[in-house]
Amino acid sequence: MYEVETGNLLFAERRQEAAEVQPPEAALVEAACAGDCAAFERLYEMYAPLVHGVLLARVPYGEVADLVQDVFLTAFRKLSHLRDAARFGPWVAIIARNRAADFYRRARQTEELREELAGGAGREAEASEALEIIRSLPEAYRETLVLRLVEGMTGPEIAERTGLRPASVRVNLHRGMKLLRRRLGVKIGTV
Amino acid sequence: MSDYLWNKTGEPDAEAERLETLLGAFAHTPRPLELPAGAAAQEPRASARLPRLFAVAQRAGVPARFAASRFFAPATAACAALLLLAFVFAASAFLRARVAHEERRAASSDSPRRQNELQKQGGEQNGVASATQEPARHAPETATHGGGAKVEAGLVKDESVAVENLSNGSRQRRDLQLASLNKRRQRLAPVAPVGEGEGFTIEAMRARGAASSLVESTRLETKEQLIYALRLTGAKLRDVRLKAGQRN
Repeated sequence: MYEVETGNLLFAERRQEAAEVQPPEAALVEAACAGDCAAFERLYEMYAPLVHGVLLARVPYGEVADLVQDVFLTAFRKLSHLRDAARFGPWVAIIARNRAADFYRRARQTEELREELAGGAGREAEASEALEIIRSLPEAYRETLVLRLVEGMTGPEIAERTGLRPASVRVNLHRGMKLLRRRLGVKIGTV
Repeated sequence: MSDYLWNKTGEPDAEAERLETLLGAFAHTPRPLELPAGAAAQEPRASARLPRLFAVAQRAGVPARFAASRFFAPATAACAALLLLAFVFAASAFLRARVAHEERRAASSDSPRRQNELQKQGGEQNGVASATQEPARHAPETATHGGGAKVEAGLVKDESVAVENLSNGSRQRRDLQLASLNKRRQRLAPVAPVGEGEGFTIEAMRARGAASSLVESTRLETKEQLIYALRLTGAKLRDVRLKAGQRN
């Protein structure tokens, strides 16, 4: 009985400590809500690569820069709706995914094709092809691989920013890379 | 899986390095954030709008993402209002049921036989109440059970004056007490033999139930007699004071 009570007390203390220790972006979110634009710009610097990677996994490269601005503008306007200030990253990633879906509802198909095939150098074409193959992968692998290979984020960073568990990110990276190698090998074989 | 793909440590993966170099061209290039002039002022977060409610919710263990929701305060107010309404409704339903029960009991005692018993028992009760409460003042008038007509008339005369002096509310309460007292006396009466088809009527069941609560009935009867006697005493005292005042 004593051990159970002690265990409950310890658990309550740990939970209280976790609640008290908040990530730095929580303070920035609170400041931004109070009207501090500099705090929001700091949030933009921290999470722009994440949003860029999420959008790049879905929309043509030429549209990504504008959509990143659009996503952060939306986030700025709706920041008061964020329930948990510590979860700004996952929240802004959701906005980015929704914005990418909206893009395809409004954009015409021909514009996308033109963007993807642009560029003459062999290296750029090879990079475009690799990106296209990554985009053809399942959604869970696609986003994780773009964040790792394009934006240069590590696995732990991806887990922290997207709100996924590290084990999930590790599995996605491993399986995504395996599938990517197979498809790249097939592509090279056909060429 | 190689650690290099996970956190860029350990032996480098050639394929991964090649892809990093190739795809790095698509990486995000820092660009200043362009907020439009006069961007909408932020609506304050729930934790700032209602800090006390937020603090109480946090202490109660409500998760922050629920407590900080803009719907938390209205939802809390709605729950409190619903609870209050439910309590008021339950209380009124209980009181209504009680009043209806009392009315039914009063209505069920309106048969002619019961009315005769009421009159007899009402006379007995007056004598008993006077005897228990005012032995000193009414020594010559103290009536034993079944006393003389003269004494009874005197008691009746005094009582009628006292009754007239009593306020309407007191009179109504006295009538109700008399009626309930008589009903309890009926319950003490032996249960009539149950005829065919009468064994399971509601009245028969109630009568049987009443017979089993003899002690409780007696206690309540005594209490009501005492209350009535006290009221009667008060009314008589007022009467005496009025007369004394008139003489002076």
